[in-house]
Amino acid sequence: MKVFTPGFRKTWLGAGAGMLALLGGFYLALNYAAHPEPKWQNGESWTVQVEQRADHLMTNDPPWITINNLEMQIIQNSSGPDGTWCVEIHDLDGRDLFPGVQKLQVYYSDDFAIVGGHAVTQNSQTAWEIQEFWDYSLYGRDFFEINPETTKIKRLLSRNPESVILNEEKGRTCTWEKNQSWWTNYQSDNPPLRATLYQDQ
Amino acid sequence: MKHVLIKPATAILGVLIFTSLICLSFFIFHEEPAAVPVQVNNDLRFRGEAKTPPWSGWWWPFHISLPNHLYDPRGPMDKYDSLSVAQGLSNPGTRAWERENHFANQPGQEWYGHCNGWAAASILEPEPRKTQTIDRISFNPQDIKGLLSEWHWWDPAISYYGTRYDGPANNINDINPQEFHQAIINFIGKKGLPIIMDISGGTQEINNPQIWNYPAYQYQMEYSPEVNNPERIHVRCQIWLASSTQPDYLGTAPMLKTYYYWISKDTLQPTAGGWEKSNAGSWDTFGDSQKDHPDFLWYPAPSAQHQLLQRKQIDQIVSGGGSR
Repeated sequence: MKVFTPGFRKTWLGAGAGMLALLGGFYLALNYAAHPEPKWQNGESWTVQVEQRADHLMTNDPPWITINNLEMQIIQNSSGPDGTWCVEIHDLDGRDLFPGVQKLQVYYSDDFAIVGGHAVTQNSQTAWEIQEFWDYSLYGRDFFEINPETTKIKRLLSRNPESVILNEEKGRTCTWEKNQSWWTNYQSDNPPLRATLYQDQ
Repeated sequence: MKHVLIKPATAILGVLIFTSLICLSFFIFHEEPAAVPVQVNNDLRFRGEAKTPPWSGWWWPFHISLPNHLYDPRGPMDKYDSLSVAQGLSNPGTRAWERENHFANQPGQEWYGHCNGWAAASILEPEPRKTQTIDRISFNPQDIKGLLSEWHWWDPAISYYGTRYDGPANNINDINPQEFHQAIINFIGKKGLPIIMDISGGTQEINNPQIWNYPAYQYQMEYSPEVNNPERIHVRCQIWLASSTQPDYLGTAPMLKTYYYWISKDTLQPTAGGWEKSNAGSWDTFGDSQKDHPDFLWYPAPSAQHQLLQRKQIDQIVSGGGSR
């Protein structure tokens, strides 16, 4: 005995397709709502305190010590090869970010992807292209990334602050909060660092 | 059966045309092997030297059984306190603080000390070479080196390569040799800066993790490609470090370490400098470098402050300012 007639089957197929479309729309809406994409404004700034576990100390209980108080400031470019946004980064106490490097300029596209940058000396000379700075400094590329692809699925699942794995091998994670301009916390095992965002009000 | 006769001249012409075509196709289709691009600093792959060598000095142990200490009577901290009192200030109590906080007396703690402070000071500060007398308190070079070693004990590392080995949860094999190779060439060779090495890495510290920092200021590399694997090259790396010496030593007493490892050429970045950008490697069993190699490398950023020491007063002692 047939339970489903062809007409009945069509109805179910239509309903299924409708449900799928609805779910797809819901997925996109949720993705948009949960996606903590920052809203940057020209001139906006914030501070990141970076601490280091001083493993190089000749003791068995190395303390955490502050290495940089980074001020980060947004400069809006017109769209072009250098991107829409530039984040300028320097230490509030005048400390180097690498021997001889006083400032970073990191360029971002309209959708917050890194498109380039420079490491700059005290005399405003370009010391390195940003990739070479990342190769050698304490601060890798992931320290400056806004929108790692790996986080998209996770972001769907929760509106709470989300811990994001940036680099499993080097033990690097950060925590994003919705509508924050930058991650709120960053942790790294290699090199041993932790950093905290202080957003200007 | 009909034979086709070919004249010798035609045959020679044919062979010539055939050979020419082969040669032509060779020139058209043959791809030259990628040569390592010539760079201005190419020779830095072989040897390099810091612009200013670090100075040797004492590592000022914490352990009571290993003099000299910073907390000794008439030692650097005691003289610092005396100067403060002589200048009409209250006694800052740096000697008592040192005795409280940088003191050890248990077995297994003999390696605790100020080697990180001395190594950082030897890179960041000119060597104190003169006795300075201020308000009738005399600071000889070893006293001044001691105070600088305590000040820089708190320096953070602005660059850091490798990870500290503290036990089975940590990686006993790092620093990776390719990372070591790049850091040495970049700092000492390209930048002309010394870099500090914790030399107590490798399997030697499996059961006894310790930290022994020394500033490295010169290197020399020898390369021998592996016969059966041309992408892999074996390196003999000689490193000159400023050694720890008796407190009154002046100048740079060299200590030579030799490391053996292989690194693999980074084929993803063939124009980026060949072996300098290597992305793989291993310490060699030859020369025992798996057992004995650096654990991590770092470069200091000067401390902005200290719990008790005042930088202004240290500068006065270093320069002899206000001496009578």
